[in-house]
Amino acid sequence: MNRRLATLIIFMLGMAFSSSVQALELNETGKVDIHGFITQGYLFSDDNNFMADTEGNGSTQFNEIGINFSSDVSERLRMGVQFIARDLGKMGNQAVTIDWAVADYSFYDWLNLRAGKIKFPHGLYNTARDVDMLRTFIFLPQSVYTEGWRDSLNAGSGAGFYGYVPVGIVGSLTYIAFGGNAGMKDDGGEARLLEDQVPKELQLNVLAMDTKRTWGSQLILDSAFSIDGLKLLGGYWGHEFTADCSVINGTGSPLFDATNTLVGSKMDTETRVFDIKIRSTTAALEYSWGNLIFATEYMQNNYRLKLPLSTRVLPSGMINKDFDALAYYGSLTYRFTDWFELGAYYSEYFANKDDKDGAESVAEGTVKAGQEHVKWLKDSCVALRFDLTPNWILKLETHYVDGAALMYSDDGNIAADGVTTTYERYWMLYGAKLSYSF
Amino acid sequence: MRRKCLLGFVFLAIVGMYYSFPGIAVADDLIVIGNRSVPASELSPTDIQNIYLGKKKMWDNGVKVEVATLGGGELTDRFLKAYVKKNSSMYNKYWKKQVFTGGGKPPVTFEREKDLVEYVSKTKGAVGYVTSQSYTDSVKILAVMH
Repeated sequence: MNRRLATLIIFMLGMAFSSSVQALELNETGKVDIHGFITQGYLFSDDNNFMADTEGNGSTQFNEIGINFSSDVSERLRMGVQFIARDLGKMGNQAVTIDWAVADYSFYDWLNLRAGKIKFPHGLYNTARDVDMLRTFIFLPQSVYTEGWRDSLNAGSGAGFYGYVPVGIVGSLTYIAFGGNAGMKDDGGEARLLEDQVPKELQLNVLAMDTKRTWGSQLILDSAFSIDGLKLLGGYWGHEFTADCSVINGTGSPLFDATNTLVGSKMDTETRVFDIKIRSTTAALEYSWGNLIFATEYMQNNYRLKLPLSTRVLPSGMINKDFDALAYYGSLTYRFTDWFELGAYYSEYFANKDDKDGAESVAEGTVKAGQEHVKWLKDSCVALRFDLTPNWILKLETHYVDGAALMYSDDGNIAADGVTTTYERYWMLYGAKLSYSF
Repeated sequence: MRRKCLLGFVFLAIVGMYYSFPGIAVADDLIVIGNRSVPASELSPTDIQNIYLGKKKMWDNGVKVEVATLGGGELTDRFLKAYVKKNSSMYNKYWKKQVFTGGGKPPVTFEREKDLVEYVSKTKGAVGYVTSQSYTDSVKILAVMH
């Protein structure tokens, strides 16, 4: 289907149904529920380009349009699909994709089977990361919910089980297990982050991404230890994928010609397939007390990168890397009235927990001196949310950021020489977003 | 004497505040009702919470649980706070999350208790809550175990 046409259709459907009271809900078995949302945001930064061309005049390439259809096919089977078109700088570009599509069969309360494209179990808020109206903030803390990993963390194709088990005074236990495949694109966020892992002069270019396997699991304890509003979460997931990459040398001469024959002399010609394995462990706590919600999450990701290139091409530190990234945040939100909510969080991310100050990366040659701050991201955020009506929401948000990890050089963060990646260490990001849902 | 008068005034004020607090009167008046097909005759507060959060999907006899709520208002606020442990705002967000992530179907919402009772009476496996004045014998009362 023509992308623009599909987008238009979704938009028209959204607008058509917006005139109804809330949404079309025909709640009998076999009937279809329809819900949707439309958002438009604006981002501006005083330095650095965050996910889009935000520096200077700012960017409006920040929007989402989604519509879903779901139905109880039988007493035990529920099916649904959500289409989404989104844009965030170079990501999305308003192409219509399937956000999730699921068949959900219930055997017992403690045993339910899901298959299809399923929201991926990661942290407290990953499953709702595309649904702006559900949270106070425009951006979830990037340390745990980086936009760059959205494609692979949002949902995966496969199957899984979930269920609820009451465990007395310990609380209500939910388990989620998923196995399958996460979609990654050769021009997606993950590929672009990989390209930024080596010095820009080498011009690493990801040609194809191939996910081998993905799995995820979570245990969630609600009303933990009989404390109303207390939720505890533990999660573990893994991604294994390969990336076919090309590399040219610093002078611009390709190492391979059109017939894939080595013409340079600085590269191992055995293979160009990069092998990446990730294991992520998350622990989280959320406590709701009246209109106050406190949340904190801690995540550690282990990365094993096999980059089969000669040490004459890549700095030795980039070959067969095995390192842990560290992320954590604390957030507080409070709803003052039906129409006003205030939120704040502080979030930290370290690309390598054993090299928090970036000194080791400078020594091994993967980061230039003076750019050590690309190895961390420390973000202080304050957000205002105004519920203009039950359907319309306006958000305003500001970030004070120290560091530049998890950002993209090709968003315009390149020095005047056109090659060298460069970021300011301290910078501000401002955001505004209007959303409508039904 | 003045002291006794003062204590008496304080006592009356507390009693007055107690009875003027609408939630307490409503809470006493709140009943949970179910369709005649519902096999249970009583529910625990945890059962009610799991039903209204969509976690309990089937009754013991295999009939699907159909959940009904009243749209807003004091009765709903009291019910949600007492049994679901969420305020209206959080409860609405919870179901919006389910709706937009493929997590399930939200409760059917009614503005009038009369309509909710009629829905519960006609819908297999349905459960809802109303004030006792709205009860009719077309539905069954589900006692809440404490």
